[in-house]
Amino acid sequence: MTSAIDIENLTVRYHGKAVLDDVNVSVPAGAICGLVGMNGAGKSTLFKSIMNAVPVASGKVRLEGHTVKTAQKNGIVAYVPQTESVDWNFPVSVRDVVMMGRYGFMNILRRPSENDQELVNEALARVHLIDFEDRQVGQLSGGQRKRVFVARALAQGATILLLDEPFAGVDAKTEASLVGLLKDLQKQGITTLVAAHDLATIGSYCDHIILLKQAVIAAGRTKDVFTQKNIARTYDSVFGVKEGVPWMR
Amino acid sequence: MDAIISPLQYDFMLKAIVVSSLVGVVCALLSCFLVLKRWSLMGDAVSHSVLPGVVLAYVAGLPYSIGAFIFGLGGVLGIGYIKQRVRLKDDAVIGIVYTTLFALGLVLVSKVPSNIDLMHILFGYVLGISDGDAWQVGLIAVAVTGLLITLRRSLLLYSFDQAHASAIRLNVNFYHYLLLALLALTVVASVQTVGIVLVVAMLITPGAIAHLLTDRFDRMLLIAASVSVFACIAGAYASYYFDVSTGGAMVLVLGIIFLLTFLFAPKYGVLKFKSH
Repeated sequence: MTSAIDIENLTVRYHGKAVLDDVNVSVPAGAICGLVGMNGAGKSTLFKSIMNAVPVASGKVRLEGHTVKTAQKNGIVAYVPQTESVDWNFPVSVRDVVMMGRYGFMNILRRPSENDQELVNEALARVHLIDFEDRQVGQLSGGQRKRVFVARALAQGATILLLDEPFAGVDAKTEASLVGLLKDLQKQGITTLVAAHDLATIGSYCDHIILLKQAVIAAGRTKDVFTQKNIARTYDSVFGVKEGVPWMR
Repeated sequence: MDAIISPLQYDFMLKAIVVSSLVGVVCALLSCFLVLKRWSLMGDAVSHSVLPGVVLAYVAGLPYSIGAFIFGLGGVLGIGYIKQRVRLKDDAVIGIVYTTLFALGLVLVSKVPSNIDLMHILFGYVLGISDGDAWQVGLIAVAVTGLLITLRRSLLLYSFDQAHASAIRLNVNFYHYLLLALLALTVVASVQTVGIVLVVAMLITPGAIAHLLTDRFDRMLLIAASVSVFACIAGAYASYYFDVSTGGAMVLVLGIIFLLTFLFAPKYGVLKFKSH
């Protein structure tokens, strides 16, 4: 099986302390892979390493066989931010945001070509947001807000999507429709890595799981690795208790 | 009509209107980015930091704009440097650095013999601007305006989503420092029109007003610039007819427009007339 994401001996340190400690893991192409672990387990740092946004002490990351740099140049990898890290009051429309997926292929003026417009139309259609293209992004529902950023990734031509806590604060119906979208994209060969600290539903839609606690506790097919034993080792305590108490984070 | 045209026969009035409108445009465009990027305090920081630069440039016999630019940019770079290395929050570091530089400026003004009028630097003196300074200010304003308009989409992406910007290999550091440098240049250009205290308003209010009036970024730039130019011209006339502080009048007009927008903006004002 070919891998979309290949991580070898990856170590990342903040102020001398290892946040990721010799991580070795790969995600097969076309997987919907859950990345689970407590807050502070290194999920965000792993994302940042895949995005070249953090200095790596040692190890290497390969995306569809390319270095991260080359992968980014070719638009292979895209990041869908957490809802609360986006400023929803920004004066940008749905179309503006999706067009930002094309910016990497434009010159410094960022003037969209006809081809760019076409790809944005296509991306909007794929996430069913074509009727909302002129809306200011803050005037969308929770699920639509996620879809805008998925559309941006598609307009970019990304085949690896990194979703950061996509289901935080989202109701069950929205979650189901997003999962449906991810499964549609999976059929088109897109690999998705989903970071989540809430374990309630992740096992039901991810075909692969990585359990992370600075190092990889276990990784593989969900049915093989998503066991009580592994979860307990990842979460340091009785499953569900510590993680459910916000003030302990 | 005559009330509008007759002051224009005076050279100083015409010059004041042209120069302050140019400065008004550049401040307004920049204010859109600052407001969206939550950098409003940065305007405060740069403008107060330029004071020692103005005095030292005088001592060294250089144009004031060079000293002001060095200290304005130096101030924000210093803030960035300290912020990364201590556990203090942004606002504390910003507050310490710019007040210290401002204090250094005050001490220098009081000790260095010069013909610098502190009041003019603090609150502007556009009616008395020299031809040389007017040209300098005009050139800076036009250059910064050109850059902001040309690079607006890249700057907007940088302001909106840095993670995506760096993921598509947009040089995030370049845009960060570019925006700071443009801010420093803009403050330099504003010293003589509204002064370093009131320029803070010019760097926040037009963008804030426009943000309450539109959901489109290009339109936001246009509204901010128009409002700002209107305020600058109104301020110049007010100063001519009522003999009041020019910079003060300009900022006051902006403040009044903000208040009206805050109350009556169709979608985002507190008294919503249009239901959505």
